[in-house]
Amino acid sequence: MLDLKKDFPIFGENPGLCFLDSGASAQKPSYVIDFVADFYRKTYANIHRGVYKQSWETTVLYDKAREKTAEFLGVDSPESIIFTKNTTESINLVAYSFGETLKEGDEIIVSIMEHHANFVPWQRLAEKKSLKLKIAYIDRESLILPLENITKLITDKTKLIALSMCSNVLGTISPFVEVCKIAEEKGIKVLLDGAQYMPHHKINFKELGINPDFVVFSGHKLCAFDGVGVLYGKKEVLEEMEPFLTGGDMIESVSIEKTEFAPLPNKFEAGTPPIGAVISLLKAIEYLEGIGLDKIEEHEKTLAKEAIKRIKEIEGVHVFAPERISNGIVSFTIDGIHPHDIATILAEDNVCIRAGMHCAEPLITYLNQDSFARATFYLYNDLEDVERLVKAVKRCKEVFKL
Amino acid sequence: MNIDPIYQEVILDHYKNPRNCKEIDGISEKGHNASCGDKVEVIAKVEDGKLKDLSVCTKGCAICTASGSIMSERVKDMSIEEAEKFIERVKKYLKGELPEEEFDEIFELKALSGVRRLPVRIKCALLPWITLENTLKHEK
Repeated sequence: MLDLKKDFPIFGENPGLCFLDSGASAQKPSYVIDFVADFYRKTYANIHRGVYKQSWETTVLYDKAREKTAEFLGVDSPESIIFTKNTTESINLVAYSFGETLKEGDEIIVSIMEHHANFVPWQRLAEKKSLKLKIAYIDRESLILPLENITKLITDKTKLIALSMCSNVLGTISPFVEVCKIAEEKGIKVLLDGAQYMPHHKINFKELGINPDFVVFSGHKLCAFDGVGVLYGKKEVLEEMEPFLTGGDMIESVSIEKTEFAPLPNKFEAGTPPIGAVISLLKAIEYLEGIGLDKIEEHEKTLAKEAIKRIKEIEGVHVFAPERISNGIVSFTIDGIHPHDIATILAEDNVCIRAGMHCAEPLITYLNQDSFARATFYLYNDLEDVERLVKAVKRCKEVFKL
Repeated sequence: MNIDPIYQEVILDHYKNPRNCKEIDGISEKGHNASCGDKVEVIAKVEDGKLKDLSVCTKGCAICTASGSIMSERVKDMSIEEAEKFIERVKKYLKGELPEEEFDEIFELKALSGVRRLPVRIKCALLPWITLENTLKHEK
């Protein structure tokens, strides 16, 4: 088992903190915090423009983050990595810029387990451009997303499949590898939402033999700072797309009559980017790779399995996870107690979980639920945290006299 | 004995057995907290400027449900004006803008005061009151 709490200053500053909300955002290790703090003290300047040392050094670090991110995903061209604000912005970028090329009657497929970030932009686009948005459903019993439920929706009008790699509520992994292969054969574009997948699993698209058109994720869920998101796009696809935001940094030349846009990646990075956050992503990836994403996955899985086993033993507790879990997401309900009350009672015990719809209202509704309590385990959690969760869940029932 | 400052006996009682969720005719309004999914529907039967009857149906957490149930018992038979003033007072109280002792005489409301220390839960307790406030606007 990993023993990493010492790497994360938040735990030293908050003794007894049982943090089980990494699915929302992960804590930051000293390795990342200290490097970025040091960078701001010693090196900081804006990127690209300056000829002086600080600007140059900042630019080098910024570009290194791009190279590291490409390597982390197992894709060839660093210039295909676009830094955005977060996953949501990455998807909106694609919805606006790639979305422009879609025509009335074209079809987009998403799954029922999408986060609102990978649902609302497509729904809006569909409304605006009279497209058809089709929903691939999960199996209500097994909570898995059968490949067939996606492929049966494909027609010759399908232009895009926008698919979450991992559900933020259920932990269900989608059959994204097969989807990419089938889509490529049929000339359908694929966007993979990796917000919940990337922080917890080793990925290498080249080794998997797939090359999705778009891949998006956020830095803050994988121990980088908030404020940086990633959009990977196939070079030729990004090159054909119109810019999303326009202005400074994304231009080649500007005259009163006309603007020539900069080549990738600058074309999609208008304005001063979140420099510190991008550099934090470089350090966060280094940190996670230093530990090993395969080890992290194994660690989380062990904790989540134990947690599921233990809280299922408590009468009235229902866990919503597929049989074979592969990450640290544990959504549950307790009969007779609303998840918001569960989270409040757990908070009194310094056990931090999330309650609500988790930005996945279509999924919650489809499962005939109002809301879930969700505990998420990450690399710094340990068996003591599982114990604390179990104890706190039992206390909920005592408080509610159940 | 349950000593939890929020989930006291009276709150749990109103949560488990919410009062006055019924079918009546009158002006109505729905309320919704997007982040947690709490839902409230208020129906008010107004006669001669008075709240003759009130239905409050809640789908949500204990705090929201209990708050709505307590409200339904408290404001019935008030005049519209009295009800509006009372709602205003309760809202201020729940937000912590009035002293803790403000509702010493109404122990159910005092029991709700635990939310004053829980900023994220205040909106749960407020939802029924805001929904009633919006309902009464139809009378004008």
